[in-house]
Amino acid sequence: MSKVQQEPIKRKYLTVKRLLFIGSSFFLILITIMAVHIYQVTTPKSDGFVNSNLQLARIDFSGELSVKEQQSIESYVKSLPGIKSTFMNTSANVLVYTYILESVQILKNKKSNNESVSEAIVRKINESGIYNNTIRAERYMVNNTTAGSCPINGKQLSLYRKIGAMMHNILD
Amino acid sequence: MKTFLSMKSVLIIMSLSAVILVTSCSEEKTTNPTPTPTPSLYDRVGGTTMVQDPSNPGMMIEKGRLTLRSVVDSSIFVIAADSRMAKYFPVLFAELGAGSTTGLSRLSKNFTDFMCFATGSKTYSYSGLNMKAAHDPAQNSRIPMKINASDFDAFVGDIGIGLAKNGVNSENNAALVNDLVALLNTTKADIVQQ
Repeated sequence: MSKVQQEPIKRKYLTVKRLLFIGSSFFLILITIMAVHIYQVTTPKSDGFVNSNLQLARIDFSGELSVKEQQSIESYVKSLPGIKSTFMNTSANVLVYTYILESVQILKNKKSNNESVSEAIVRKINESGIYNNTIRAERYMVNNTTAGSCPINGKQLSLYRKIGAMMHNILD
Repeated sequence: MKTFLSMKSVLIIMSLSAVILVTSCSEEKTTNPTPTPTPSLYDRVGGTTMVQDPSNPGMMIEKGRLTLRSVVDSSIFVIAADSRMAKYFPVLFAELGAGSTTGLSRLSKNFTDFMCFATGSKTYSYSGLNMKAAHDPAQNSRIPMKINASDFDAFVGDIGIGLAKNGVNSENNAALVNDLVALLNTTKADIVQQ
């Protein structure tokens, strides 16, 4: 092939290469912006709010608990490291507790997230032997269909949530 | 002559004393004493006295706001454990379940702001939705359904438990409890939309 014929092919190759480079750079910038945005949205904001990183969770008990059992359960949960405060609704057998995720040391050799902490607490209560085996503690969870339309509110396994969790794992 | 003069002096002194006495008495009668202002509910729960904020080390906070914030936070606990209330907070529970605490801290702040403002604080204002809009699912996507009267009453009862958790109850301060309940009840017409 002559040198004159090779020149346009080479130029075309360079243009395609340049376009690919610009395209992928643009795509990379977009992905970065989106990742930063998701990280910011899923990060608890202080904004002058008090206890802005305080988590609240609820445990429902499947059977009737005696007053002594209710007191024992509340004391037991309160004694777990990282738990800030507790409240037992004695008439409904419902326990509410708050904690700061970063200060909970309930899981060994594992990076805690809200779900794993709540599950671990429920498991510990069920294994505590405070009440008989017919009663079970269950983590209270809302139905996704009633949980609203905000992407961070609803489905726990949404892509949005997964990306947020991934970003927190990398950056936190 | 000397006796007459001394009598005259005594008379002058007595007249002057009488004038002063009458004037001072008449002044007391005519002066309208400044009425002592009735303390607002905010004053009664601590007012503007600055105290250390236990949740913000090194920061000061008005005692009235600290009291109301503590009551609000305790009440949120009670409400979260109340099965009658849970149906109104699916968004909040879903957020918490997903690890986001923003909604909870915002609820605490907005509710505290509202209570401060409603009880007569001059420092804090409430900038959230008005009570009607805040409890209308068409205007506030965070609330899934309209509230009925019995659930509103249950909510007021939960606030009462929140108050009791902070050491205020009908036995030790019936007047304060009654006035706070009365204040909450002024919002009933706007909140109950069912």
